[in-house]
Amino acid sequence: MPKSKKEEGFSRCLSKEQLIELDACTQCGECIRYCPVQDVTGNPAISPPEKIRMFREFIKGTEGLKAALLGGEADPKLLEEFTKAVFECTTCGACGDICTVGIETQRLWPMMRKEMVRRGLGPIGGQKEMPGVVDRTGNPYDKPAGERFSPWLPENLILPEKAEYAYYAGCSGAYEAMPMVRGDVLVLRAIGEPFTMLPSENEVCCGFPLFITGQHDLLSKLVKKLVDGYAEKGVKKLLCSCPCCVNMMARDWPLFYGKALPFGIMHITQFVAHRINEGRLRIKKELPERVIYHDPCYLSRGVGVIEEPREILRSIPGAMLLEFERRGLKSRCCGAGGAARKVFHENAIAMGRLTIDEAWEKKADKLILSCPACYSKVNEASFEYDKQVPIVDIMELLAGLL
Amino acid sequence: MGYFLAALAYLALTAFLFRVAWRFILLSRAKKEGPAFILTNGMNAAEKGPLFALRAMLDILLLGRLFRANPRLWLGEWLFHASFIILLLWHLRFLIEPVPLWVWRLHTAGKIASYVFLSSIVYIFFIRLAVERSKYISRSNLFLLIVIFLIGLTGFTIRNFYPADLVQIKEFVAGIFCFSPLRGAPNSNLFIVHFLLVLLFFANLPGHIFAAPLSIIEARRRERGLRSVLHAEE
Repeated sequence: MPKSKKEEGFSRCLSKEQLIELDACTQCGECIRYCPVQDVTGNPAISPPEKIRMFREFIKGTEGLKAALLGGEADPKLLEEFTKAVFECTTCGACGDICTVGIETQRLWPMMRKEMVRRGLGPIGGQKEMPGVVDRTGNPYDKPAGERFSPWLPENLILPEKAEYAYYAGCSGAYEAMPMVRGDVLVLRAIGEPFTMLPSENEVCCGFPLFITGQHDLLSKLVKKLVDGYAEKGVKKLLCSCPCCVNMMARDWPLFYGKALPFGIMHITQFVAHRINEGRLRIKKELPERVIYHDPCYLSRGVGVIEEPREILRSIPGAMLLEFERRGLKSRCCGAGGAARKVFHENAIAMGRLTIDEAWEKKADKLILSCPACYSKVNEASFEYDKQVPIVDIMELLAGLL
Repeated sequence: MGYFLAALAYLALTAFLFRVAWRFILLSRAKKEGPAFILTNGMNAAEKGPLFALRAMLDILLLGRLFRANPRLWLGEWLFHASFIILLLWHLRFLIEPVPLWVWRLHTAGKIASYVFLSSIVYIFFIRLAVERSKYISRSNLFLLIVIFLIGLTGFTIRNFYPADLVQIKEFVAGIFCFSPLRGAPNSNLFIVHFLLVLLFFANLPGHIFAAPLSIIEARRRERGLRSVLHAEE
């Protein structure tokens, strides 16, 4: 008789490499010092090594020798604790960067979340509504597709039907961080290279919010719609400013599409920095200010784009670039990651305020971001906070200086 | 008593072999590739060749990632692992007959390692529980550290204060290794405690001893290929 989903072991959600990683954890606890959830909760019970310990228990309890001979179930209380811990995580991956045995946690936690979803334990809170909302509206914010571009896309912008480059705005940018996506488009227009976009009803969610919350059922449908849409437009490079989207596109779209993509994926800062270096984009205005740049987790640790945003900021006449203590691969999560903000709102605000605190202490005139989720959440954290630093997206800033 | 200890040794060995076999079964059933490892730009070929192998080997032998994370803890951990290996090799004089010259030459190093081994465990405890901000130590690590410390302490005491009959020990260990255990055990209670603790450690050998080197190599390859996940312009 075939085993039910619950009876199937916990190890089935992991690849060979991830099973090795799970075994490799020495429980040294070094990651705890870099965990943003630990920063604001101080609760080691939901720390990375504890999550790994619990997951090992589940595998042993359901697939070990004793379980094979006598049958075994995972401890329901431990499962409940684990589910909360793994969904409270922002999946920022800082624990993986510092990991003394190199566990790629930014990719491990989402697979564990998927397993909890398969068992009917996750996701939690508002995350549960997302598949239905995305299926109905094309975005996780339950906003009409018709309002995706109209509030921020310049009216006089002419988009060719077909072009080598295409721009994907993404749901968070289009609905939650409009100055950011408007800045993207203004900078792209200033560069002068033709670019196209999908119609607003066809530019659906990239799938990241569903992927990261372990709800994979809709992903193939979304990815196929998007990839085929860009392929029909003859696109060779897809540009996007959202780090979560570019991660999803570059790493996971090929899997859900079933083959290699017919175009490449670039983060907008890669494209713009290249054009500035070539002399094809000139920054005319000066900015005599101290600016501090926050590395988004999925841009730095996710896809290694660390230098390009800095190249852009250094090319602004008069601007002085400050750095956070933790930057690049070691950057601290602003609190917006992993869809945890949808449930653990207070954690997210507290993490966002840690970012604001440091920018404020370093006397930055502007806090520069390059992620719509960061943009939205840090702005929210800044609301009614006594330390105020103007928050600006990197393309929004650049667009104002051209 | 000899039979009893030998039975325990075979039990510990069986438990260890079962655990290894179980891991192989889990790995053989695992997905060949999952979403976590789909990469688009030839990253899988990002790092190959002797230089990569050398760097990865140094990363493993020198605990390079731990050094980058926490140099103070690294000092204790590296000394612990290095002295542990020296002591294990030095113990070969109890297992091999005739004893190879290179094992005899470890005499001074082994003596120093016995002091370093115990001191490094105390140092790791101190760093973990008294100094570091996180003050984190898992239950399994605490258990293993205590067992290892007691192994070191009993061994040190036998060597320096209450010497056991080496001939008896050699015959006893050789009997177990040749699957013809002796009826009697060596006439040293401290040795029996030492031996039982070693069996306890062996039965609970942490999986990271085998998995961590593989994970470290994979991490080096992945980190070197990180920039190729996206498609930068030429």
